[in-house]
Amino acid sequence: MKLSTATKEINVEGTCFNLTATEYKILQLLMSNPGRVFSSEQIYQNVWNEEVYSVENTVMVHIRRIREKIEINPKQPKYLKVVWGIGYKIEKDQ
Amino acid sequence: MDIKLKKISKNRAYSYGLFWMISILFSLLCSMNTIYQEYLLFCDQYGYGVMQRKLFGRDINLIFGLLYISLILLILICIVLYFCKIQPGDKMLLGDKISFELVLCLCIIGTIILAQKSDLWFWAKNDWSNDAIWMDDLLNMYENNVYSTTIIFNIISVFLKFIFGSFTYLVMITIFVRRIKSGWIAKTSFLANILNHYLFIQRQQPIFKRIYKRKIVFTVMQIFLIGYEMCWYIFDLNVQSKTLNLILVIGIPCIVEIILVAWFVVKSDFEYDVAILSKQISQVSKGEVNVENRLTKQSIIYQLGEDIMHLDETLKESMEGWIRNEKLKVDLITNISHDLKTPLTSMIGYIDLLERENYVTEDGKDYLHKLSKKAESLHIMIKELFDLAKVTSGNASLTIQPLDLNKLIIQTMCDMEDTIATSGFVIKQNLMEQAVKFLGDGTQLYRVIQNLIENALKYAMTGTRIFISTYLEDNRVFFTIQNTASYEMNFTSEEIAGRFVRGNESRAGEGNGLGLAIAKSYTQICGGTFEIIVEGDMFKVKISFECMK
Repeated sequence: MKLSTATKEINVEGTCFNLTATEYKILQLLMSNPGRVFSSEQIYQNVWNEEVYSVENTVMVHIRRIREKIEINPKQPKYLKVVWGIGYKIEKDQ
Repeated sequence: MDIKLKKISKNRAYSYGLFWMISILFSLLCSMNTIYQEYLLFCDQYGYGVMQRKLFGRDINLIFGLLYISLILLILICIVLYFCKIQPGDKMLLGDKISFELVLCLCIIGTIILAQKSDLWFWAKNDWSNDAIWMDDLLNMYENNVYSTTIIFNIISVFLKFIFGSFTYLVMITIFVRRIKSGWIAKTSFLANILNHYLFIQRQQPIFKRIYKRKIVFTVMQIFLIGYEMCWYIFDLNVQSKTLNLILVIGIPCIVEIILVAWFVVKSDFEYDVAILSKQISQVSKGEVNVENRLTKQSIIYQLGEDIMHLDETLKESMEGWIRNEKLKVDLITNISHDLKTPLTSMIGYIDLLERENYVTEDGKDYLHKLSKKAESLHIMIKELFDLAKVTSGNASLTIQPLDLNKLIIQTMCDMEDTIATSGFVIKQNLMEQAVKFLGDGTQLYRVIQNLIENALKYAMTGTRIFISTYLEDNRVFFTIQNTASYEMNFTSEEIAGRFVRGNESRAGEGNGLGLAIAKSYTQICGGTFEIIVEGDMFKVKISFECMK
């Protein structure tokens, strides 16, 4: 999985997907540190640069969208994972 | 067989009858001498002639004495050879239960008295001046001139005394011989029983009873000693010899007291033993195996140590059995689920392949689609059953982390957005403001909440709302989900949480009846409480966890 800075595209196993600005930022944050769990507050602060107030829904919606783009089966995600009750993470490359 | 037994008992009855006849004859003969002596005395008193102490030119005492001896010997031979036959399996009679020491004493005393009465005693001592001792009373009576009126009575009483005495004596001899022949001496001996009690039986008695007993014996002995001393002074019991007096008043009580105290003190290395025992107990409680019993065999609580040692062993055995059973159970479920899954997976695969074929007609494709759906739900069901079995058997691996309940719910809701949207229900959220953390496994609890929401979507009445709320109470976080059922809920809250139980008896529609069972088990394995409340048409599930400090 590769993130292209110039074209704001993501390359997953040879297939390219377009990303919105927010999605790109979220992925950039998560992929900067694979395996680390980011809480929704952390993601929101880093991506939106706004005061944090009840953001869980917003972040989760974006995560879902990204998942629908990059995952082969969004119900059983392979790369972008939800850590239930805590946050989100990008799975480390095996 | 019966006839033989009867014959034996008949023979026995005869022999015993003969035996008692001989003994009565014996007593008669014994009394003859007395009567004869008395007759001589009577003659002497009233001057009917010179006292004749000779019969057939021999000393009368010797003749009678020899007669007694021969008769006694005859009877003894009869008893030993014929009347005391013991067969194996014979029961103990009443007389056989008398203490052996008592029987022995009575036999010895009886023999001595008999020897005296037979006058052989005096003959042996070559002392003719004395008549039989019991004649003294009679002589006194002669002197007081009461003889004439009481002579008949006296003769009868002497005769009765002899009968009674010899009868008792012979019974005792019989019992004695029976005892020796049967080998019941050790069993009936008082001394042997006491020894046996102190050496063997006492060790098996409960420890506290023994300690209690020892204290009682000690106290009673002390009181007895004090009483003994007081008797000497109160009743002024003084023996002539001064040395003997000293020994009796001071010497013996002192020695007894020293022995008593020594016995009491030396035996109370009890505390030391208790220390050893408590160490053993704490070792067992810490889960150490093969804990040894370090108490000595002489210790009063030796048996307790042994018991604790065995306790450890039995505990180990039962634990091993339990673990083996659990393993078998889990193995069984795992194997079954694996065996079911394998053919199902290939079925799903082939159905998928068939669906892509062109030659399948439209109807056929419809059937295949239904087949595929059913196979998929069967697949899910097997998987869930397997997971549930794993959780309830305690074999699920958990990752316990601090979780945020609000976050968990929102994440789950977003994840299920499609399902919720297609169902057409409105879910009202009423979440607490503060972020409270609790300990749990996120993956498992995600499934709990997912199951509960799915359950609500499935059974809620169309057009009603589903309410989800979280709140904090008494240092616990609560999650509730509430919906209005689309059917009459004729089950109790306990029943519905069981496996394969579905609210709808017809078992139609989606679902496999595992949802609530999974939710309950997963919540409980994470340390939470799970409660179902049914009130009229309202169905409510309440989950709570302890907050993290």
